[in-house]
Amino acid sequence: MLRRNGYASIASTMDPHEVCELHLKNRYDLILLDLVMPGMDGFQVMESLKEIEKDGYLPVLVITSQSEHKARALKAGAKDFVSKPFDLVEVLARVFNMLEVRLLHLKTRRLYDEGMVEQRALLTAKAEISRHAIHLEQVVLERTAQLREKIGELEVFSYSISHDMRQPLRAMQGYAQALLDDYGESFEPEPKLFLQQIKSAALRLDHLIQDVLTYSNATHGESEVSSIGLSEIVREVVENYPNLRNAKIEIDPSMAPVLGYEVALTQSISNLLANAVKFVPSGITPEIKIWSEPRDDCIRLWIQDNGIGIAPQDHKRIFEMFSRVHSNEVYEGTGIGLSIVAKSVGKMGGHLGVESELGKGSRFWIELQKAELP
Amino acid sequence: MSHTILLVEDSTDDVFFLKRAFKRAEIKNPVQVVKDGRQALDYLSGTSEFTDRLNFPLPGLVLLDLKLPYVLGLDVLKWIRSQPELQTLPVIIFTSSSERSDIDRAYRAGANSFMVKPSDMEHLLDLAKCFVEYWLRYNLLPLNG
Repeated sequence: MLRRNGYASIASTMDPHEVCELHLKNRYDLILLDLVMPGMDGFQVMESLKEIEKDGYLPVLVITSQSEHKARALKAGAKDFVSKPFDLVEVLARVFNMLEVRLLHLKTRRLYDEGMVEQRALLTAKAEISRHAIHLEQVVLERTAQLREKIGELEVFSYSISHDMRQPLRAMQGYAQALLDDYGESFEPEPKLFLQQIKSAALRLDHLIQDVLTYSNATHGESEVSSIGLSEIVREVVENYPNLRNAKIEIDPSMAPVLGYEVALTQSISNLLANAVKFVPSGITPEIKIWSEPRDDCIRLWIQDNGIGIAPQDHKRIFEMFSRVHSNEVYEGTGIGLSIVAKSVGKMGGHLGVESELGKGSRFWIELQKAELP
Repeated sequence: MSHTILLVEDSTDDVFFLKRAFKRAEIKNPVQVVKDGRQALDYLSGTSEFTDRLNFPLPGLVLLDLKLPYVLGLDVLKWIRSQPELQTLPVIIFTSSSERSDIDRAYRAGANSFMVKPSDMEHLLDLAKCFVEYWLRYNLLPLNG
């Protein structure tokens, strides 16, 4: 009857024991089960089928002639029943509905499984990410500890430089001076010159060491920016540096305050001013003009001199460490001064630059964040 | 009264230069030199080779280097401040360090002044002159002992 109505792949058995074996092998979409069979009760067959269908869905359509069996069968897990004797239309309708439900059930289960797979993948990915994050955190901690250690070593190193290495230098210079003081008059010009050279070389090396230390300590120890009055800080630098006394210096008294580290800014301004009075043709009085201008939320401090100027091709490299445009015979120096300025300004989150031409003086500028007026 | 100056300095070069600068600055005060921290403690407590107070009088001023063999300068200073008869003895740190931490620690331990060794002779002479003007001419020293 079923075959005539277009259903395929139909197996049948009279042996209740065989039902389970066949289902295990073929996973039927529908089992028509007669409750009364020789040798085994249909309810027992259903129990056995439950063990095969782990999710509890029994595709079982029970066939029975006893009405009290119907409720019991549904309770035991059957999905539906048909009564004996058969009504053909009823049987076909039930079979059709059973199969449709079964199909929906399978589809749902597949979607559920796919969802599970996706969810599992998501969970795995999440676990992976957090594992990486933990690893990264560890790496950061380790690196930070390593860096701290290195910084500590460097501090010990620079401390040792400032003490141990400068001491013999002081001695070299001191004994050369003592020789000059005590016996200088009896020396020929040449040995006297040699002694001068020893002295000035030692002094140069001492300046170099001091500048390198200043460079490596630039902005060290200052953690918070503060509001700094530009007119005040410039005036303070000018008053404290004896080299600036012979220069004509004009300071705009109404410059706006900026945000910065006080020590670093003092160092930067004094280095720029020291250059402004140093790189001047001999016999010319240094003339320096200092003013500021607002630029968006920044203040640009200008320092203009009447010095020898800087050729455009040198504008960039003068800020590099040890970079020098002149030889020591012409203008003495270590080539570190401007790199200290660059590092300090950089640490304060500012910018700096220069406008200059040979023979026309220089205008250096530092740009820093504007401070709120109190 | 001519106070004795005790110089605690391990570098013979620096001793030479300072004595020379003192001479040029015409500082007439007797200068005693000890070469390490342990000797400084011996001298100040009048023990070991320094028991003879006629030859090794208690100083009116101590010039103390920080980096010293055996006992560090800072520990010499702390020891001086812990001795009842030396508590008011003026101690001037004379060192090559201008480290913030060294300066702060020295003052906290009771230093009266902190001077950085100049790197050239002219400045050392300047410093010696200022030193004698201030500490031995204008400044009144406490009476120790």
